[in-house]
Amino acid sequence: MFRRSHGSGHDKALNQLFDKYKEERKDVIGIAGTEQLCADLEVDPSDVRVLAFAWRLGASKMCHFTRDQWAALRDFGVKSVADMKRALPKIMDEAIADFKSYYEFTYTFGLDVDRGERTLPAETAIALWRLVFSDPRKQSVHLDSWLAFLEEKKVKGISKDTWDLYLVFTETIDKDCTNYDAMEAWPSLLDEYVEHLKGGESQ
Amino acid sequence: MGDGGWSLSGRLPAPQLHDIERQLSCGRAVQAYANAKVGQWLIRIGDGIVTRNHVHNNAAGRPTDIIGQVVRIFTIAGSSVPFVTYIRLVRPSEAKIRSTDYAEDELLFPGRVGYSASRLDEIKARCALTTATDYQQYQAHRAWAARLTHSPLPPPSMATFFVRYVDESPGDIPVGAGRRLVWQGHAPKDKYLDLSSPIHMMAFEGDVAGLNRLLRKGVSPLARDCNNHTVLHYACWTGHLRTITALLGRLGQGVAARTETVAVVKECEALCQSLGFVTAHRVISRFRARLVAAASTKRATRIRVDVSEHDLLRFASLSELSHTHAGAVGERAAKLAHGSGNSNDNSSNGATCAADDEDSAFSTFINKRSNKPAELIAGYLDSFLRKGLKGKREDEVERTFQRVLDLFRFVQGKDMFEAFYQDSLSRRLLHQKTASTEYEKLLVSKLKLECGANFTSHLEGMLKDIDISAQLNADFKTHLEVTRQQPSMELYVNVLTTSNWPTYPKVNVTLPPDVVRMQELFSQFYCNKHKNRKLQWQPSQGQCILGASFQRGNKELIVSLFQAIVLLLFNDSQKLTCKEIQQATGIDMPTLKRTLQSLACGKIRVLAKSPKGKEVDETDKFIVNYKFSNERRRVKINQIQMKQTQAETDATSEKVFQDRVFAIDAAIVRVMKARKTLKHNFLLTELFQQLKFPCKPVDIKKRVETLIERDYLERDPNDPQTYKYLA
Repeated sequence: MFRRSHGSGHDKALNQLFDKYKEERKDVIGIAGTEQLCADLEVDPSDVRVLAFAWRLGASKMCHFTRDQWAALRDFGVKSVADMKRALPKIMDEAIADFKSYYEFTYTFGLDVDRGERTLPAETAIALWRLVFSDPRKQSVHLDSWLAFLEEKKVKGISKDTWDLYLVFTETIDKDCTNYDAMEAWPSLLDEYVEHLKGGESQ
Repeated sequence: MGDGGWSLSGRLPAPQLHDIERQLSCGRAVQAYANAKVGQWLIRIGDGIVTRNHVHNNAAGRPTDIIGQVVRIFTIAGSSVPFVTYIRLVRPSEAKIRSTDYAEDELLFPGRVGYSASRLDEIKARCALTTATDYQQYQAHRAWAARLTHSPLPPPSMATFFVRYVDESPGDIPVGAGRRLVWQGHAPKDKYLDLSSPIHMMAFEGDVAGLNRLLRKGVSPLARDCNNHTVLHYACWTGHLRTITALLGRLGQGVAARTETVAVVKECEALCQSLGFVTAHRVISRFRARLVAAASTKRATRIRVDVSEHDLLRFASLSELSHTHAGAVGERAAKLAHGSGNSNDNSSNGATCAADDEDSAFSTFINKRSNKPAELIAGYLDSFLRKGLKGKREDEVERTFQRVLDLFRFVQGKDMFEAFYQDSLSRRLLHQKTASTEYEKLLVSKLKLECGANFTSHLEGMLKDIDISAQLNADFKTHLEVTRQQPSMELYVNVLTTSNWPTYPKVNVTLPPDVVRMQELFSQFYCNKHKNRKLQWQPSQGQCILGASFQRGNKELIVSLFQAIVLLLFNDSQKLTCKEIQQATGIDMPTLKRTLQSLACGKIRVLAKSPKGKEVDETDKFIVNYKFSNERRRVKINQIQMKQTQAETDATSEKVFQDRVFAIDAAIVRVMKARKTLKHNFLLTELFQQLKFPCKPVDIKKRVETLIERDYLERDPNDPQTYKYLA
């Protein structure tokens, strides 16, 4: 069934695993399948490990895995659910190591393409931000005040540009934003955030 | 001077030669010629002047030709000294010159060398370069050189030739390759002798591409040649705009120390002015202003603080121009700025600095209320052109305009002014409110001079539409006579080009049959005349004269089209309610109420309303007020203005802000399309130069963000400070 490597025993096992979760009509793992998979892996569907798992498989949207994407599990020698469970921490390590790619993936992953979304609704973005920075190895010092600012300002949507630049921001700018320069090319939302932060201090 | 070895030719006036000798620092050049041996090549090198001539043997001995050559320098370069600085003798082996050179000289300066006609033809035939185009080019150069006899200017023909000679001289370097090789440092510099470096030549020739390449390599536009002239000087001698802007663009990026830059730019500004290069002069002076402004920001800030603290409040009230004389305010404010400027500058530099500071200080100061001054100036001009002209002499009016423009010059946000001015101009023109079309035109032409043709194209278009319409209506009249169609009424139509005028809302009203018929006649006439054009009637802008008979005599009522439609209904009925009128005319209720108010509740009441009162209700009944009387025969019934002035002002500003957003978008895309990738800060700098209204970095940032979202741009994945253009 796999395009490139027919018939090897390993792939066969992987395929069977896929068939276990896939929808009846379509050759994809859908919502029900994903829920079942999470249950088998004993993780919450909103767990960060699921996000990393989706990233590693290159899923284009939430709760949607194709057979081709599934094949990426071969790199971890997955044959059974137990194998998959063991692979999860490894995947998480990879995600932390290649954090930029993982982080930027999160945005597109969160977009509800079927509903024609081009920018991420702030609610989703906030949830994803919390999720993506939940690993102790990769934390953002600005996260709490940033998300509070977004909520307070009732921002509607987060553009991809703002999302991507937030990573650069939190990696280069110190907690009190003393080395922040609004004359640089930061998105205006970040400008406002820093202004808000500094204004709040002086009051 | 030569001591009898040669004598003056009869053709050459003695004073000229005397001049030459004096100017050639003790006659060194002439001496060199005099000492030259037959068969030697002479090369003269000066400031941009290079030519070589074969000192050759002729029947009269060498002097005739030599004198001819020497004089030639000065006939071209006028009486100015510096161009022949020294002369060098070179053997033929050192500089290979083709025999055609001489022929070119002859072609350039016929009669100077003194060939016979047959000999000239022979040379022409031999000379590969003397095609018709070449010759025309030479002629053009000559004319050009002649025009500038009094300016310190090397003849371009010479410089151009020089580079071409080197490039095309027989030998190792193929045609055209020479310069490129020198730029890249492969060819020996000597080949260009001691003349200006290639970049000077590029500037002189207007080779913008080459110039830009050199500039990018880090050659300064302020590089000086052996005569201490910078590259910018060279560009200014030719007045070639693109060269000048290229150099200024580089200078703007802060190539050299500021004082030097300012000095050079000032020199060049004067140069362009003396040479009559108007546009170049304007470009340079604008650049200089910016340079000075940037440099004196610090000082200006200090002044600004002083001014704003003491006088801004006073000025703010003064600047309500609609009640005040704009010119007077300008002067007053200028004085304020002047005073502060001086007091602050006592400690600092000289008078020029003070003047520059004053300008920038005044500019910041007047633009404190960002868009208001533009609006107010437009408002002042409106009231002035409506009624302020009465009893004024021409020079007084012109002086007023000049003062307004003096003030206007400092105002940022000229687009705001344009919008307001366009609005008021359209009202003046369509409702015949303007006191004099001549003055309207005069003012527009002044604005054009001030801000460029782009700025006034709409305004000019409006005035033109009105002119054309006058002719059109005359034609229409004759057309009706010729086709024997009886007009039921007189119709005057202003045909307006949509793009030039403010946008009017589309209104649907039921017009009286007579009007409809006339409109149709006109439409037919017009569409026959101009195929593919579409007429759209704007009843909201119409004006009518109605004949009316009252008990106390006949009157002519000057009313708006809406008022007329309402009044005409009373030809057929005695009494109408507001609601009925609305159904019959199709005018929307608020407008209709205002119209009825103006007819029945104002000063002039041609209708009577029951019940009486100031406000109009839908159930109110109206009859004709037969007892109407007025001492005049012609009565104008003013429309009641909605309390709309504020709303309208806001709408106009809103429109300008909208336009600005588009302008920013367009400018960003334009810049990025040209540059492909650009750092954020450079983009900002470019945009500030291009946009003619004040805008904040945040505004631009937001536009950039939407452009990124719309996939016009992207951020460089490796450098968030850099944008990339996506084709």
